[in-house]
Amino acid sequence: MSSLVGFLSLVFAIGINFYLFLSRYIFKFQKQKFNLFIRFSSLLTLLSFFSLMYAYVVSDFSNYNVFQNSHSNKPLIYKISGTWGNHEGSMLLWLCILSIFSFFFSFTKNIEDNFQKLTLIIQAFLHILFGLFIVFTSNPFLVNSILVNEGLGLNPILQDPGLAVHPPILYAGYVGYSIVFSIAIAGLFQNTDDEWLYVAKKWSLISWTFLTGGIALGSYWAYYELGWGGWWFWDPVENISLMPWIAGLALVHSLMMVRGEQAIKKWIVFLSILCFSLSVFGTFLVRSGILTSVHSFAADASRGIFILLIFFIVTGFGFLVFLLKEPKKSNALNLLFINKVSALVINNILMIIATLTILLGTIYPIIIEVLYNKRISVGGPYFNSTVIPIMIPGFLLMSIAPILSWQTNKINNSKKYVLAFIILSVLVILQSYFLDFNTWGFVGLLLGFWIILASIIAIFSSYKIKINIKFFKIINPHVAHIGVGIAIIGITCSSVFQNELDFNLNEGDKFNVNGKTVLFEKIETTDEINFQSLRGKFLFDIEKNQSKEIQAGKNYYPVSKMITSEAGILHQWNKDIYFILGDQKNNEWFVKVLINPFVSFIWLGVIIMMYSGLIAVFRR
Amino acid sequence: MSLRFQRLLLILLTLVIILIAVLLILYNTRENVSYFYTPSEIDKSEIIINKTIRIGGFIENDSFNKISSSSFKFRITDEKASIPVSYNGILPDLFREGQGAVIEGAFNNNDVFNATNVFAKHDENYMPASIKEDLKDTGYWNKKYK
Amino acid sequence: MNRIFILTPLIVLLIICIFSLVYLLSGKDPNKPPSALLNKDVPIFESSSLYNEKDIIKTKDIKNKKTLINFFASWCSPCKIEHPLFFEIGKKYPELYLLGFNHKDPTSDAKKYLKDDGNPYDFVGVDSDGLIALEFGVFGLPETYLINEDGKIIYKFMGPITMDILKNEIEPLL
Repeated sequence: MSSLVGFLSLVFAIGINFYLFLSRYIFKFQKQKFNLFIRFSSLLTLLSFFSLMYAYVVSDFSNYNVFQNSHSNKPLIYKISGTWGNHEGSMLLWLCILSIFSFFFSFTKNIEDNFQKLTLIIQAFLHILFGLFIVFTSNPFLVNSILVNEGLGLNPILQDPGLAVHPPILYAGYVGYSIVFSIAIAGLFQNTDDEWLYVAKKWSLISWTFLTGGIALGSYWAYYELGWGGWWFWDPVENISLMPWIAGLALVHSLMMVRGEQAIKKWIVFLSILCFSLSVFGTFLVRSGILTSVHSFAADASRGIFILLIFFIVTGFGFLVFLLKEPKKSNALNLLFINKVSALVINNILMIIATLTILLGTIYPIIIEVLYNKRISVGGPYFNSTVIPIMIPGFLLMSIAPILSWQTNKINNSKKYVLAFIILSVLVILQSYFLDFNTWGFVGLLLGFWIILASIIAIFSSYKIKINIKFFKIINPHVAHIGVGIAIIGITCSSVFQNELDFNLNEGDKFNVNGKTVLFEKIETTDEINFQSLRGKFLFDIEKNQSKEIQAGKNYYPVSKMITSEAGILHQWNKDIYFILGDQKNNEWFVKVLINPFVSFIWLGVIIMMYSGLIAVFRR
Repeated sequence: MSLRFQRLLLILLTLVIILIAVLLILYNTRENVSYFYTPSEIDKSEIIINKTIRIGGFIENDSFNKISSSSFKFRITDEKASIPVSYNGILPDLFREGQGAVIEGAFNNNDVFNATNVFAKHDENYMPASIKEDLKDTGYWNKKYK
Repeated sequence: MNRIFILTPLIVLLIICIFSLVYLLSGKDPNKPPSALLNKDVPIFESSSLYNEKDIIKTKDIKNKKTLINFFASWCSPCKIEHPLFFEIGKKYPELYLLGFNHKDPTSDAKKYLKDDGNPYDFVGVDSDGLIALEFGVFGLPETYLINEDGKIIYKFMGPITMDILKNEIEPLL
């Protein structure tokens, strides 16, 4: 029943969007009525999504999708997240978020009516494309032809609270760029004033913030769930989310130039189209099953071709409009060596090169296989040694960029910065001299601290310190960059200075980690609702009275006969101690202990970046 | 500095950055890319010792051998050929005989593949029984460690 | 000059799309191993006949002959749909051994079902606790397996088989 409601409302919503799309050419609407229709179709799409969710919650196995991906033994939260834990459901979520963005955009005030309408018509067009994709190739409302009283469960690796909220947030980021795309295209068609740049800026900041959150959640999940002790693997799916993120960052920065009246409209439009194209391309790569990873669902060639077609239409349409309706000439740039404009231009060039590098690394295997019929894998080493060096000049530049002037190439208080840089360099050199020296570690630490230091100096020497909202808005770019600096320190320390210890232990053994004695207390097995758990219990620092207990082990999910690792992590502000329980032979267990310094800095940095993203939405 | 000189400097800087990027990409696509084979594609006569490659296939039944709690021997196969592998470390969660896996590593002198990384794959087509009552009978660890 | 710059993304798009399309159409499946169940030995099972408890069938009894194994139950309506097809298979391929497993059914219901609709199977094994289905990895009824002479599973179908599937997928294997 709920499946029928869901399917009908989905089809109806697509129908309304089709009607709205035609309204540009055939029937003319008033703005009021038009917006009502848009909102109505959004609500219908939402209804469709919720009826699928309802089918999951009540374990309605007459729905084929529920049958394939759910199980009545699952806890409620994973029944809900099961809705988007599969190909069909996740595409419906995609569409749902698209229409939520249209819904909110229809409330935007102080923009020209025709412009808003055109933007929403382009959104309707996107809705139709993806809606048809769902109906024809990935319908989540199919009736189950087999009579069953139980479902097939969900990939237990995906049964995790972090991952339950990860896709909606990530998708909000991806799909948010659809609005930016539509705004840019509408801007090209109307080609009137520059008001739309401010609207685009707001929406691109919202999408970027969501995308940041989604990516961070995903890598946090990988950190404690996959049990490898790392948080970024240059997995194709991670790369796919990173591409629109970097391009989006370039977009946000180039939209900053609006304030200095130096915007290059052509470039902004290009970036807007690129961001959404990369989002759709990412969806294509994951959904077609061309790239296999933990995230990809079963492959089906017809799906792949359909979504490739969508990608081609959307991107081709975008760039074609871009080609035909060139924005009118903007004023010449005030490029100096080195002022704010040139810093932003260099920033954009670097980010685009980085995006292209990742894009190349991601599709390189496809090209090689088609041309030479050889399979290759492009992994971490390629990306690490290509992307990071490209980004380094950008990191150097960002420390002082916010205080550069629009007009001249003078830097206030330049002596202070030079002095600070020299002192900092000496400190970092001393640090690496006394601890083990590592080139990447040196560069990373120097950059990270330099960005933080320079931003702090800039805040204190350029503005009067006040505690009010306006002040926080003014120093926001510096805050964002401090966040990046903190994240760089975290990334550098946790990857370069990671320490790995291996032990073979019997129950009751004591061993030494980082100067502290750890007791391997015992192994315990227990039965949980939908899995069996095996846990090794460790007591950290037993010499103190308040020793901490750490549990590391595995879960066994009988429904899908799968095992997942559950790493035991002891969080401290300056390091994570990461326990992994390995295999056993003759009651001797293999235990791996990783000491990851300053991992918490990465998450802190990300949170600061997201905070500034939000603040920037409100800053004009 | 004259205006023209500053612009020139910027353009030069940009060109240098792009050049470095292109060189990096060219260098890294040659050095840091590993080839992927299935066991039957590996030609015994053409093995390059200590060159990192990846092999994809599935773990041969009855081939898994635990040497110690952290070192393992098994064979990876595609039903046409099979290759002996040795691995030290922690095996991934989904690693089981009969399951798909991708291993990364290199051959050493005596025809054994030394894996440095093992990635297991969950075969989506294999869905074992999921009838509720049966769950009781399928205890996995059976508390046998205690 | 300017035009060329703006054309670049379109050209890149075209190249990417062409490569992806060729890749998709070539049917390449990146390092996906064959299904874990296909080409594997038949699981070891032992079951008594529905009509005679002493008549027992074991895995080794189906060695050296092609066997079609079908899991069914009287309470399963899709089973009823595919039921007549087994008569046809039996008529067309007399040397094929048709083995039915009655899944989680009271004996009386199963007997009544096979009396009303006819019994196409050479042997009807009882799987009242569902353990054999568990070994085979059955997750819903009906489900059909084709076993070759070497005792390997060469084909598996979930759901009711139809005339099309019989013609295009099962018969070529016989």
